[in-house]
Amino acid sequence: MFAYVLGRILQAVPVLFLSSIAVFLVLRLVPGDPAESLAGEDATDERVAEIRVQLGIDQPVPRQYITWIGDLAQGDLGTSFRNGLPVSRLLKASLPPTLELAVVAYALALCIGIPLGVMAGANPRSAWDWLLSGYTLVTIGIPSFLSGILLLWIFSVVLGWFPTSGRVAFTEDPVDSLRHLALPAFALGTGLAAILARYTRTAVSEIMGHDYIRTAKAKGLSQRTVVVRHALRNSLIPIVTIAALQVGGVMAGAVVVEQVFTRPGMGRLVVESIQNRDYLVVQSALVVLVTIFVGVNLVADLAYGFLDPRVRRK
Amino acid sequence: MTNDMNEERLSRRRLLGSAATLGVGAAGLALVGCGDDDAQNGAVATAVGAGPTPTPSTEQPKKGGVLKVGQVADLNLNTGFPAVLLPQNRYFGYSGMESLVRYRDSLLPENVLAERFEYNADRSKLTVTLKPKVTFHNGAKVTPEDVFFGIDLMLDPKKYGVTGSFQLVTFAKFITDKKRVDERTMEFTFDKPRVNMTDFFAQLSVTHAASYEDLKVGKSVQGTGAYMFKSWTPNQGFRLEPNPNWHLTAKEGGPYLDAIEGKIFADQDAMGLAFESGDIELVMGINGTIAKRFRDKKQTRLAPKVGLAYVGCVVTNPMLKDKRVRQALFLALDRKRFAEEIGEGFSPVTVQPWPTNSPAFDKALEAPFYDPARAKDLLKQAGFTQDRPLKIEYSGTAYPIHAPVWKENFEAIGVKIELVPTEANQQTANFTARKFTDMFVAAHAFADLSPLTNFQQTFPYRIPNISYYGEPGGDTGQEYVAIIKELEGVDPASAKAKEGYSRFNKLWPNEAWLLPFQGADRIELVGDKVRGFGEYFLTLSQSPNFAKVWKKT
Repeated sequence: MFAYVLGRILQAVPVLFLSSIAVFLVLRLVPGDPAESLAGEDATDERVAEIRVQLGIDQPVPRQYITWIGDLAQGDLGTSFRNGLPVSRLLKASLPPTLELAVVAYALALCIGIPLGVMAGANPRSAWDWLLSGYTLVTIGIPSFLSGILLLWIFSVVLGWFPTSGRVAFTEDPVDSLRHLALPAFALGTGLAAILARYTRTAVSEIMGHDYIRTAKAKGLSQRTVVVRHALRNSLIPIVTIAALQVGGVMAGAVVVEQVFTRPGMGRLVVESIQNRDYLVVQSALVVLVTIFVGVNLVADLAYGFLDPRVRRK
Repeated sequence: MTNDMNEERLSRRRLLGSAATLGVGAAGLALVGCGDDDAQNGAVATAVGAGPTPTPSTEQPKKGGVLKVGQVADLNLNTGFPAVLLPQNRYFGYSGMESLVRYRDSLLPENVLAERFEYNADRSKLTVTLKPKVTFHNGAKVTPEDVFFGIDLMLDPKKYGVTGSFQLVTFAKFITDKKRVDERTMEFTFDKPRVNMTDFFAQLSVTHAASYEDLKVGKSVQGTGAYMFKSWTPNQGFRLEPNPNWHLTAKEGGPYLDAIEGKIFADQDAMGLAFESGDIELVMGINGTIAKRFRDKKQTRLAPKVGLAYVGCVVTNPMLKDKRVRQALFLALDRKRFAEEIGEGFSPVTVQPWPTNSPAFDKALEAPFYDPARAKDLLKQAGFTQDRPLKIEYSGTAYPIHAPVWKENFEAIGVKIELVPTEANQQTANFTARKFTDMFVAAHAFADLSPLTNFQQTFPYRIPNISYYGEPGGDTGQEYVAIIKELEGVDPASAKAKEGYSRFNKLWPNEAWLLPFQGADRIELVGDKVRGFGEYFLTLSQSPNFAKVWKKT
């Protein structure tokens, strides 16, 4: 098992390394010079050149990368071009709101998606199956930014039940924190739940046709035991795969949902930093997000080993 | 046929409709480097246009309450604040920072931090004595060195690790010597007699030099004003608290609020929704489309005008070199439509840079100057031809609904246009690098100061940028340069100066290097419980008098 875990961790290293290069280069391909933008319309050419030196972007691109990656390896994320704040401070302020949103939205997706998928898969062409079809149609058909605006309008502006924007830390005021989280998490989580439910339905439905399920039923086991103990467990590998891949979807969705609900998370930080050509903030934020994604997929890989002993043995 | 469009002005005035527009407040004027006392005149500048919520005379201000305000960009204290006042820093800039002198509702200065503010006879020297016992929010005494620091910062931003530049540097360079006389008195010597240096000092907010490094990262932001900077969470919001030792409490009253809490929004739509739900109670700068939802509730007001939004012409471009072509473009813009359809009728139809309080204000310029037939005629006279469409480069986020109207208006007179929406950041970079090909769009402020200051300080009027207008040596440039030179030697309020303003006002639509389409006004949303909001100071950039704001409970 140890070798399996080690192997998976080692595989993650080149992924992170290549991602860092991609992130670094893509940003430099976007037109717009941070120094010219920062300098303002009154700046002379000399002042713009000075600012380039101040920001370190007067150096050749490979050297800029080596400096950045070297600093990153030592835990120094640098300083924001735009506001002069340490990037670590910006990430520290922005990561918790995104993680809260992602965790709650993800939990909501799991709580809705898996039971609904299992019920629909175990009972094809039943009311559960129709419910899933309807749910999928509505939630996937309406993009999260639109459902977010509708939710905001109904529940915040008209009914006044939830705040329209912002975030309160869970440790500061748990109730207010959940009030701020409810609508964004709902907007993000329900769409993810639909995808998860669809995959779960397919996986469970397929398993339900296998001989060993028929055998279990013939043994007189209850439907619940057959579904939970035999069908669901054996459906878990594709479900875990899609659930892990959805972490990327959660992160991408959070970017949009944070904009709609003015939640001060990583999504807004990245969007604004791209607009401002704040290279170090974007680079560091994306590396953190990629690391989370890689980390979750690593956990999923490890979960395969746990769920299926054949994988461990291989 | 004459090319003098001024002849047309009186007849066009009849076309002046009711109130017109705005939507450019949202365009985010980068008010760069702006900057009060014992009021001698004490008048109140009242906003025009929208439904105001002034304090009814029967209500007495009460202490307490938190004022929740909104803005769409995060604080940025590292690019020269407080000598640069970006819109995102304006709440603290307006409520917490002060200058030696300020303008209330006219260009008569009143002392704020200064007890004495005196020029010598030819205005080549200035002596300033600070009020005794005025302190920063951290308790440190305000000294001449703190005033000098603001000037040094503009002259050498690199030394202080600032990644920006300063519009006020033009004036800072006029100061050839600054001397500390005693712990409260300082003397400034200028390169030559300067008639408008008060504008500079009225825009120069004074901060504590010794804590500047902390200011840049938002750890400790020191001013002397009614509210103190308490905290800032990047990307989320900030909190300002009342200054218990404010030196102007006896005169202005207040500060009355327990705090001002700012929330940072992703965009104007989100901010409008938050205002509608009551999550925030004050917004300074929102577009007309959103603001119109609140007009019937009398929750909107318009801050006094500071300048214009314009399409600028690169006049060295062969297609735009002939002033008749530029005049035609000037006459092609349907300003009533911009004012009423896009600006939702918040501010008037105008082509004039000057606000009503300016000594250069010219009623004849408060007109649409819209005459497509004459525009076509002018193009014909000029023999205008195009081998390609003229490009208009503009910020796609600031002017998405204006752009099709520019194109439609210009194409209606036969000028082919290519709209080039540009990301706001790239647009600023293009300004810095002077990269525009044909035409570009921006808004300017500071027209509410001395007209000469507008010419010397504001981007599209400044001589080094006259490349957009023509060579200073050319015939048209010569006239403009001559006006500025004359104004440099006379009292800004004198009859001679007014003659110069009048000459400029004639030159303005004739040379048409800038094609104004709307006033650069600031629409504000003010909640029902907010009281005392509605008095503005000319400096800094039409700042509301936050000391008088209170909340009805």
